[in-house]
Amino acid sequence: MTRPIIQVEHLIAKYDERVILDDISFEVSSGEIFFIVGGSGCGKTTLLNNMIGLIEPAGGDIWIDGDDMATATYFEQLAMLKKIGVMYQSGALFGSMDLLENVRLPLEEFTALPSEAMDSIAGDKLAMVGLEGFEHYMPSEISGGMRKRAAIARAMALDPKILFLDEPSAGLDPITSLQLDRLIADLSQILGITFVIVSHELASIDAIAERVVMLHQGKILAEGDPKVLKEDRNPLIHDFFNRSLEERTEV
Amino acid sequence: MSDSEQPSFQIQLQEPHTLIITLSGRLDMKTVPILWQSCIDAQEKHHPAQLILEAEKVTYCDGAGVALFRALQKRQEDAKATFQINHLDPQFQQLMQAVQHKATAQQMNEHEPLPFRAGVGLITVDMVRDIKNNVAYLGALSYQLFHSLRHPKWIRWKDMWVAVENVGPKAFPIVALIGFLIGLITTFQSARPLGEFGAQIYIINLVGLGLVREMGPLMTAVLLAGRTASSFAAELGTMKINQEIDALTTMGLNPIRFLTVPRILATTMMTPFLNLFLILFGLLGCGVVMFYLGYPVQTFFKQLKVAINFSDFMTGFIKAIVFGFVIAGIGCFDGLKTKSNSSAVGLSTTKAVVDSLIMIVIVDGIFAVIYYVLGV
Repeated sequence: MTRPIIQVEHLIAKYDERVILDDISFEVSSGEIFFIVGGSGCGKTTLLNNMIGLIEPAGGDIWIDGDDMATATYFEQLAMLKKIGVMYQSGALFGSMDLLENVRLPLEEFTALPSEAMDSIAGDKLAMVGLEGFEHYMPSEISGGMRKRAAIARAMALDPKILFLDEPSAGLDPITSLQLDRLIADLSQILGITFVIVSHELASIDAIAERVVMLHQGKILAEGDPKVLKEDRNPLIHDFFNRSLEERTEV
Repeated sequence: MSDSEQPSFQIQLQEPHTLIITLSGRLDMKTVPILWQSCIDAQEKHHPAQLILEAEKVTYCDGAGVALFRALQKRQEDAKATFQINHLDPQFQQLMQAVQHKATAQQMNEHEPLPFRAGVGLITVDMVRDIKNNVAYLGALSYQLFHSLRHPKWIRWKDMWVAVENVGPKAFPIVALIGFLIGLITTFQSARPLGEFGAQIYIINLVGLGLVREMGPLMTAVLLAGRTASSFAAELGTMKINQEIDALTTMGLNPIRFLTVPRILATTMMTPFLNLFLILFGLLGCGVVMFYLGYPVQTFFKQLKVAINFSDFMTGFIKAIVFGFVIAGIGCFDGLKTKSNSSAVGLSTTKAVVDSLIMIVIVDGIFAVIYYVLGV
């Protein structure tokens, strides 16, 4: 097993006094495609928001490539954010900019590259996600799947080591979703990027997940290879990974 | 509807304190309204210790029928009395049970109302949190503005010019129209009362001084509060909902520098110019009416020159700059604070306009005191 690039240790997250995540610990290896799964409201997005520094944890540590996100100062966090890229559920592309400008933005802000080089890099990233020729389209002029791919291109603009994807397949048809899964697998293989994906799409988990952590009511219920977890005897895990619904009492 | 499906009910009172309501026919959305009040009235009239619903002849029952059963049952439970349904067809019993499950779950989720002291405490905590957020925003904004002005290359000039265009030239027609009408109306309204004292010439002093010192900046600010503050709040609120603000944050870009600074600079820069245009068009409106009242153009300008001096102009000009800053700051702040639900953008927009108007009046009051103390 390669060295862990992300280590979450005893993470606690709260909204007011309500505990959302309770003592969460796991590791993600470098280059891995790692899924955070679980039913709606189990704390997946809260976990992601803690990992990308949008929410300050109530306790515990989050080590991203050797630096602790939880205890980092504002300026340390800024430096850490350059190691990661985030794709939000809606894509979160800036509506007033075309696709090329969206992807160029992090380059403009954090590099001293000449404009021509920035255009070239941004164009390459768009081509990498299959959006060659769409550089000057506005986000409102393209489909949901294309918006997500453009968001991945933007997240990759600074060549981050880790990409966090929040529900990449949500709202997409099965074919587009499959294309996105293939894109993720290709990028992981070619560029060696570590992917942390929040999702409950079983098809995507089956297709590309190397390891998953399953949350239930703010705690880790299971962790490991999804193919192994499919055979787990715990009804909650079994039902989730096999998309079955057996009569059972709440565990 | 056949005879057997016609809804009907019978009441039978049995001792001790048992009420039997026999229902028959269809109990659906159309028929239940006919039976509802009669059943409830019978229950409330007799206050039975036991209520029995005989449902053997019920041929159909949907959500409305179940709602009637539930209403009767709830009243019995509230009165700590018993309730029983007899001979209800099993398929309708299933529907009843499903609704009862839901009702039980709902009851479990219902929160106890907070005691008064806890309510006051929560409101206080919210207020303190709001104040803390406002102070933090002001601090961050001051830092970012200062930093941007010291390092102009950090300013998003492209965004700023877009904001300049939206705040300035696009607002010009409405500002010009309102200015012209204010000048025109004020002059007309003053013409008769001042005319009675033979002082119509002083309308020029009244309107000129009023526009330059007070009405110009104030009306410009009110227009911008409705137009610009709301637009900034809606724009940034929508970006918040679309997670664009989160995207900026996780890219390591400060949303205040990126979104707020260009808008504040643009508005602060454009408000004095809009104020100037409002004054000019106000004076034009005044001039038109004065000409109609028989005062030549030369007289108008001569009197205006006597009425207004440079310090009058500067008092209004400085006020307009501060108003611009306040309006843009509040609009952006309320936009950034938008919560993540469908009505949040509307709420932020409304709040931005209301907060801006309140702050404009407060700032205007502060200026009035300062100018009075300074004797300008």
